[in-house]
Amino acid sequence: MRTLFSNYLALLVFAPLFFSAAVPASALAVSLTFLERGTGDPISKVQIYAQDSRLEDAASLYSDKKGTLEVPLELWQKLPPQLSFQRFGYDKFSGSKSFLNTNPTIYLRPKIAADNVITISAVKRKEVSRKIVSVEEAEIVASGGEPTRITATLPGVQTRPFQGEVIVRGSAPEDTRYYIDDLLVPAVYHGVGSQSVLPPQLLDNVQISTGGFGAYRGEATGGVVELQTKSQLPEKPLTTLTVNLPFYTGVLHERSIGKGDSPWGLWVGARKSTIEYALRPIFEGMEDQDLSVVPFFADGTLMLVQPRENGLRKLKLLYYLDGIELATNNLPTTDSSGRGQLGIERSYIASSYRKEYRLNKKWKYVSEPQYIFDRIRNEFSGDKLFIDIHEARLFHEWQFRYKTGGQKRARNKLSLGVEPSLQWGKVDIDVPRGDPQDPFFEFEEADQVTVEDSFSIFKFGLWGSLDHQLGKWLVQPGFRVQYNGQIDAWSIDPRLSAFYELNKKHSLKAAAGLYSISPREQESTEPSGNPDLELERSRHFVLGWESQWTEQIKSSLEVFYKWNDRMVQLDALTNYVGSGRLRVYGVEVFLRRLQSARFFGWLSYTYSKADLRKASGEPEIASPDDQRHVLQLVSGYKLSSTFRLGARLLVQSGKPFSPVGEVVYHAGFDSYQGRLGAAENENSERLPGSQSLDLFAQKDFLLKRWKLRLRAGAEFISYERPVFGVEYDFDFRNQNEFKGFAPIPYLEVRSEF
Amino acid sequence: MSFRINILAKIFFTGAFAFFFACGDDNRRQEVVDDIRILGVKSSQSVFAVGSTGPANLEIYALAPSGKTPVFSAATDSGAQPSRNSVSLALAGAAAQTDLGSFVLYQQNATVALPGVSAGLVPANEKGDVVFRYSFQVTGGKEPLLGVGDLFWLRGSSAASVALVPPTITLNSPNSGADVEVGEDIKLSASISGGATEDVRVSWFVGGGEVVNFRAATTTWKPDEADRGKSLPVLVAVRGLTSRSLDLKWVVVNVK
Repeated sequence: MRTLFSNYLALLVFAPLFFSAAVPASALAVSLTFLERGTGDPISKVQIYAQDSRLEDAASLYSDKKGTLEVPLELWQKLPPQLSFQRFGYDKFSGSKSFLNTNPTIYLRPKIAADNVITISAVKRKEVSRKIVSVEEAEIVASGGEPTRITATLPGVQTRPFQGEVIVRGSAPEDTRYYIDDLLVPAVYHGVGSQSVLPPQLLDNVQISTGGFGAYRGEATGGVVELQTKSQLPEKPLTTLTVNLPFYTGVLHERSIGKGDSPWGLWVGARKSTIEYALRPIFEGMEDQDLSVVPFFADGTLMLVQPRENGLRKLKLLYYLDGIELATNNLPTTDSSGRGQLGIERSYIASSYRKEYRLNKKWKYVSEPQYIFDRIRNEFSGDKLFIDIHEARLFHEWQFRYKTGGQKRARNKLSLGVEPSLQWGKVDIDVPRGDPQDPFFEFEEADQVTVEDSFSIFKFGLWGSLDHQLGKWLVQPGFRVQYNGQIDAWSIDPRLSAFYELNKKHSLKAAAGLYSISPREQESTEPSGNPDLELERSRHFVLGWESQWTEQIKSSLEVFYKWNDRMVQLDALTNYVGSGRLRVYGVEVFLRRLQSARFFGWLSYTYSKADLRKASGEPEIASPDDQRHVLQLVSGYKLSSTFRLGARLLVQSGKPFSPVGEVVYHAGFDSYQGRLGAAENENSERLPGSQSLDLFAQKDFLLKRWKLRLRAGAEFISYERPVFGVEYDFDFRNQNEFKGFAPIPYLEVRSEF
Repeated sequence: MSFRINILAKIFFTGAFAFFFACGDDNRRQEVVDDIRILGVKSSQSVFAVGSTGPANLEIYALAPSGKTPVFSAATDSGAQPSRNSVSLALAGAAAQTDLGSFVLYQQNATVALPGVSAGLVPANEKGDVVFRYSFQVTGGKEPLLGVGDLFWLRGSSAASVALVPPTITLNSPNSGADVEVGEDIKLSASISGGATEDVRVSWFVGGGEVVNFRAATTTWKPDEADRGKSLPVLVAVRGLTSRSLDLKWVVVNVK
């Protein structure tokens, strides 16, 4: 009897705990979970309020890293019936205790921060013509959402249609170098949508120096673009699968690995184009189509970062593949099928291991040994260009900080660096010798170059620079010694920059220097090249005025002059000769509203004139990149945390082109060959100027654990379609304009879950 | 571990391939002869042993709409690259004419003698091969036409090219005198003999309409409404790109 009663009593006491939904899971506390609406990420540090007043009794209670806030039952019963929960950066949530008793999961909506807080990105080195853009700004307003293409909107920069690489102050794209940190990469952009080889998740900021850059960069006479990767550990493990219809699919995983004092951050990912699978069946079904173009690409990334108390370790491994298959009835054919086929493919693997080591308060050492294997495979109707290049390169830099005068901390810096590199490889070439700058190059008429050989080239760079504060002056003298073992050529390049602080808002700046670049491998490698070439030279002069009008508004005005000589040109006797000269001068205006929570933008205007002389005795002509006026306006504005507007305006004058001077019919090829005629005809006419406006409005719909983003916009809005060039009838009798896109309205749907 | 999926679709309302419409679709077509046109040059020989003086006996072919008469003359190609050594062309007699419906085919004979000595000649490559450039002008059309061709002295392994058997072509379809309908796809078919050791190039020429692929030995042709009631020529040529040879065949069809 007693046992039966005890059992009955236990049942009475404990049964409600099992069967009542209104009873907390823990009888001792109320447990609330806070997640971010739209992502489902847990939110820590959420606090309890009564309306908008802090509750002293609950002042020490915060949600933890998992978003869980546990309130002891005893305290819970003392709290007022209406509560609110707040966390900086989120809208507050209000609810009654009777609802909260059910241990709910609460989704907080992100809130836009106050607009007076600006985002600062650290400039790696202070330079006269250096600009920096954060990846957040770049992703919003860069063309195609590719952050590395933001450089095209900055002063001193032009672009060519369908190319990602930029023209810097009149210098051709191949005269500008692209670095990922200090890793020099052979190519950055894919042909499809000009996506870069680096996934945006790895990028921290994009920096470009358009001239007068310091001694630490060599083998460049145009500009330097630096893609700075992240150095902080990922906050949480995350795998992102991206399906960008119909262009590509990619996956990226990031996480911290290892425990203890020095964990590593890991990013590993891959992307593969998918557009070729859509295009090939379409073109195969349209055999009579004049032109079939099937681009493809792939890339892979592995990055390991270990921040340390006294420095950093960073391992990078990149894979790049890019190509195009082209078939057309309009290419000269060599069989009775009537179809010419062209295949272009480039692939490379780039690797580096970076160590930054701060020896003490004064000394810092950076080294980044690199290895790159670059492969080119181009084939066209029996012609071929096969090149394999291996390159081992070392980047070493020592920095010494020191104080002078009344400085409280060491603001002066002495930097020394060495950069030896060795290239070796094989070439197997059977192609027409061509002048890429000849607008009427006839490859069927050109002499054939046939080379099958191996090569090796040793290069060496040694540099030193000083950042020295002298009162209101910051002076940056430097030098760089460059050597190319293949042509046995040296250069000693002095460089000097200076900043003078007029007052807290305004400063003057100036730079002057000599810059050198080696001829390309095919230009200096026997038997098809000329081993007696010298290093091409460029002299940069820049004078400017910088102002910080308010905390958020800054401006820069620069006047520049550049003069290049020893530029490599084709030559009938020696294959190549360093006879070309380029002269560029202009002015740049840059007005910028720094990025804050709501708004950022900038206005950029460049006036420049670029003249080219191919050899002594030849007339001076306009450079093919002589684009006099380029005006850009980019802007992003957040009306709320989920609604954003953006715009990108480009107004530019037309570039020169070469009209056809005379036409001959070649009976051996059944082709009409256009020729320049007189040398003065080259680049003697101009395409019309153009304007292009891109506008978009973007709305995020935040559901509980996922987000739907709609972006509606229009690209290429203009009075008239831009003219990219001219094209001719088969016999050059008629000239037509080759125009770009008409305005394209679009709707972009993106979901993240 | 968090997992995130981005699915991105960009829907272009005017078509993602607007680019293709930016190209000049209204350019004239190379296969359609609408004015005096040089069709090619047949040479008795294009490749000569080093030091040979030739001569090369040439047949210059031009097609002209009825009512236009081409006038042939020797010329100089002053814009040629230095490695194209200029030689003179001498016309031989008047041009022979062949009626091809509403067109006339002209055949102008000429000869080219080679210098015979190497002094003063610019070699085309390190082997010492020499290229000779002859030129002629054809007037009578909307604009004068300058035609050029090449003859060769070849050394070493290139001399094997001297023994090349040039390709010849047979026009299989359409038949001469055939009736063809406006707007219909008419099969154009040719077969090539010889030329196994060199690259070849095919060219179709028509008096109107549109050929899908004028470089293919087999393709289709669609006559225009504007050609209804006319007798139009259909010509096909094959060139050896190394031997610089030419073989030309033709038929005349009636467009209904």
